[in-house]
Amino acid sequence: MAQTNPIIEKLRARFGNAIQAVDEFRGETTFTLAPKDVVPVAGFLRDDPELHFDHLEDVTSVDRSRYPGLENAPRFAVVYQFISTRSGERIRLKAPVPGDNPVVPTITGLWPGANWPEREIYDLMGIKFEGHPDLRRILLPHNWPNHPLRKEMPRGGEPVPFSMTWEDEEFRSFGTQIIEPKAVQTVPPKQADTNRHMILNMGPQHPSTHGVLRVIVELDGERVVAAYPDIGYLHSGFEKQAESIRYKDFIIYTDRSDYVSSMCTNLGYSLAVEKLMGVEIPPRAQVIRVIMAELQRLASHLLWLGTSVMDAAGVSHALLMYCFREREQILDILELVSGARLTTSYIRPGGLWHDVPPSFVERVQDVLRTFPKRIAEYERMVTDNPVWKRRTMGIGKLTQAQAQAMCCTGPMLRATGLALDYRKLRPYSGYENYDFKVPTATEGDLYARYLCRVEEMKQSLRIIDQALKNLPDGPVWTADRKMALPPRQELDTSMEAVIHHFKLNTEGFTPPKGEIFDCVENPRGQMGFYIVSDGTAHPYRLHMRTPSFVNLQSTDLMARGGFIADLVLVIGSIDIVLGDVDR
Amino acid sequence: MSEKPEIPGLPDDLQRNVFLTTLDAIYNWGRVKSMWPMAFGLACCAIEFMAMMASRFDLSRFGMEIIRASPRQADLMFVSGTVTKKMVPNIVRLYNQMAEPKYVLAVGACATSGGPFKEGYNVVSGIDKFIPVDVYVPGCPPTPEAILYGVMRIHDAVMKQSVKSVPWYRRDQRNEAVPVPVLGPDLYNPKDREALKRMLREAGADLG
Amino acid sequence: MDWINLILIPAIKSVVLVVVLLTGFAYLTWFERKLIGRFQQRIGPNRAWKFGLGHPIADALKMIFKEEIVPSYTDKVLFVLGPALAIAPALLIFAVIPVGPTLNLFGKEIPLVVADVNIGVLWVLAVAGLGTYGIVLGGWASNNKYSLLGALRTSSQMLSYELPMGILLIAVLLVYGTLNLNQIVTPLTPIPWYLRVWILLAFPFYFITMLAETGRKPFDFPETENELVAGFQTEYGSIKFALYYMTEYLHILGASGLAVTLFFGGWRGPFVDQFPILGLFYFAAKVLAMVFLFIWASASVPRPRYDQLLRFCWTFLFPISLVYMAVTAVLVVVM
Repeated sequence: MAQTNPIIEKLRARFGNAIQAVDEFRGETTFTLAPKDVVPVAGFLRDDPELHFDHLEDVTSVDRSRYPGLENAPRFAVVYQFISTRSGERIRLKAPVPGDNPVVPTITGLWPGANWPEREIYDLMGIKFEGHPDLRRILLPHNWPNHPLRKEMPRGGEPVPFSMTWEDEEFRSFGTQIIEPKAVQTVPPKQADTNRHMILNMGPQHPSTHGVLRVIVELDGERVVAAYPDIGYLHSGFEKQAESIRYKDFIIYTDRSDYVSSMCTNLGYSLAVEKLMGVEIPPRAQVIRVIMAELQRLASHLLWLGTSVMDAAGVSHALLMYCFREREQILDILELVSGARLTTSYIRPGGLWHDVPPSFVERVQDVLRTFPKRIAEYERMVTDNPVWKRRTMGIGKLTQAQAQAMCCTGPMLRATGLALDYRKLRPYSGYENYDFKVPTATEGDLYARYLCRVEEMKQSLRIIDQALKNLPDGPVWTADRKMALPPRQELDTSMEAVIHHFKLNTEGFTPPKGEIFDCVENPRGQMGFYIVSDGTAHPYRLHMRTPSFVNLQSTDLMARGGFIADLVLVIGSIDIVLGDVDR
Repeated sequence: MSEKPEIPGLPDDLQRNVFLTTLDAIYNWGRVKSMWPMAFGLACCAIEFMAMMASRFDLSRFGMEIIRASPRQADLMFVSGTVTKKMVPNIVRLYNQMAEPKYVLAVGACATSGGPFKEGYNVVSGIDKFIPVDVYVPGCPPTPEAILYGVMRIHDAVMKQSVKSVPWYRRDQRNEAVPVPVLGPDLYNPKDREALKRMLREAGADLG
Repeated sequence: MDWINLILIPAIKSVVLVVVLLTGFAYLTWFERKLIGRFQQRIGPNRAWKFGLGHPIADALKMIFKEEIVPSYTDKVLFVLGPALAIAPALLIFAVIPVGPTLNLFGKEIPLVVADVNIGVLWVLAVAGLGTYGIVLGGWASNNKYSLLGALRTSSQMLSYELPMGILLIAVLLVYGTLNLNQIVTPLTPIPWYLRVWILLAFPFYFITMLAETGRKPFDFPETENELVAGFQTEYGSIKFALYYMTEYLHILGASGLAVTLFFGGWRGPFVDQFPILGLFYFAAKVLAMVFLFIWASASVPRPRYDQLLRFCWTFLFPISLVYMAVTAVLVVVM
């Protein structure tokens, strides 16, 4: 991309020798610099009115000790991704750090939303962040003995000693507090004032934490003084798994990370791998991808609507089941095309698993026919319901500045007025050809998020309608022989084709060396994949930037000062999926 | 129970059983038709569990739609999803908090064996290494129909039980809590319960 | 034979009433589950006997056979006392509610009310207030924070809503001029039609207080399952939980019975004078209709927040009931 050159020049002019190297790969610019320079450069990038890189997309790290050609280079690298919500430009800062116990300065002063990603890096990679407000393990138990994403750590299956019994300090105050206030000890959040406030443990088994989220709530009466989410109860080590399986095999894990919007995550991963490989996808596959992703968005928002009304109304409310009824209709289509209801693995790197069956169009048209009526019915049930309005208006407020600082994406951010939607900002899969609006609101409260999501459902229907009308014919798998199997008839005549077929099936495709970061708009927000390739058929490092994980960290900000009943709705409004949070 | 009317023409050792089979039938029927699940979901399988409760599959037909969030009131635990090393102590504790008779359904590949994450550093290979499981439902995730089938198999198993042989009403039966794991859980073997307890006691734990 | 009138007949009536109430409770749960199923486009329980009629019985059987757990960290005496204290008042409410006209059985005049007393309405209010103790004690004794929060919510919710409820009742009683529920159903002097209509205007407000007093969705704050797991009954299992469960439904029955008596003429209906036994059916039908309202509300209205509920009570219901009472008093005196 030629237009990134001004950025390079500007940064070189401003920081001179601090920029150690500039690489371009597949249109992505990477600046390599020393860790101490990251904060000033990031601050400059954010605050310079021309550059305006106002969204920190991701913070992650790479252990480069086994990367071919970098054996003697600094062992770790911390990687930051920035994007400008105005122009859609993206740049990457990379800060290599030597040594086995590296320390880098934290970026949380600039971007409070880097808090959890940095904790995750500390937890999994063992890189310490100097000046970080709360550097603890986040995903693994606090007494975990190692940092599993380091290359010398095995994938798993080995006995890892840990203990978590009632005798742990962590649990000391639970269950003993009411009658004997003296028994209250400092519990994990050291900041909590346990002498004056009640510490309530919500989860991991709690009806409204939407999975195995645990929130430790500091209560003054029923008022929430602070909420400390504790995650990691579903941490299954996706990123470590990815390092030992082939690119095409990782697709099944993308189903299981955000398990209520698997098509969208499939799409994100496929796009990232395709970008890494540099292959083109035929138009029919692209249109079907859009249809599937939008159907999935509908299904996901339906699930959100049902469960979040359930949070406010209890399981006997009728809307919960209405939403599930409609969702079944979409799941039927997913089952029709892929054979699975949730874990579809339908969109794959290179195209689609199979073409859609003949009855697909009819089924989707059926959805298009019935859904507007249904959504209108839901709106009649809750949109103007005074009780629902009182429960949601003005609750869980985030201002636009706060949301941006906390790196929120998706409906969370759009409800504050910033129309950040990757389908518009960096269109993929031909989204630029569709006419749709990005719904925004300005209040930033629960009701605004509700309105945004309902409107998004309507927009999804519009996109599906347009896509279905312009569904081209043709293949659904890329013709590029780097990824595509040779056609059957060629196998009979060409030895080369046979060898190629054999190699692709046994080894898998091999992308060139390089690193890539690509994002799609999931129902929950920005779903990004950062892939480092070392030229083999396995990813060298794969990082998932998941929307729920980043959005969840503003729970405390939104719930503070509200009631415990609001906290439940706030958690519901983030629309978390624990697989997406913990990975 | 011992002072029941004699039924003529039956051998002595069967006299007792005539009463018991009727009692068993009533007892089992009661538990089968009113098996309340615990609101507890781990991962993707929990979404299918919710779908099973919802309109199309309708778990309530079995009288099971009263989902109790408190383990004290629940009869059936669905372990639905990936069991991690961070989560497993909580699951065992929840199991201990449930009142007998209690049943466990391992939903999906992860809860059965670890599933696609079996080799993950934070994942245990199956919940059955920690708590007794009654029925396994394969699938990743199993469809709601499959989970319903698993529920019906639990019903079958319950119908075969007898008041006489179930352990939880015996006087000599001390209802013992399943130990909450303290070691690398992959190593835990129920036969090592005594050794584990010894370790816990040495660590200063109060086992009640 | 005084003892027949004084002891035997009331005893029989009480026993019959308790049995009817307990089966009534059981089938109320069935009714609710079926109805909620219908509201949610489901079928509802249907595996035990025809239409799933066996499910409540199965529930009871299972509860009886469940293991009794008294957690070690609870206050054991209060923990056991809680459910008992909750259920007794719930049963006692029905003592003064006339469920039918006076029957002529075995040559005896038998009024279909256990205790035909002059202070009927007062009794109901007093006993209903007592029921709070069971819940608060149970929640406190559980030594569980969710239970404690649930119990505290219960007490303030009940106390707050008893006020507008009582005031609305006063207004209604002004019209009837008696506290005796039997005389409310069959007034000595006929009540003019406009006063009857005027009373009906109070019913929507009274219904809201009823929802709050019985702790039913959407006002089920004692046990809000989305926030407080199971509220005051989190630590209760087996039969003790069943007692709490029963209490909740008995409260619905009691509140519905009272509302039917006060606002909709109790057991009265066409042809009751010729066939007194019909009164029982009318009463049951009216109570059932009232219960339907309860369930309907729970399936269609989201839950307000706890403080909003209390604010609604003090800033809206309470003043409006005061005004209503004042207007009623003027109406009664002037017209």
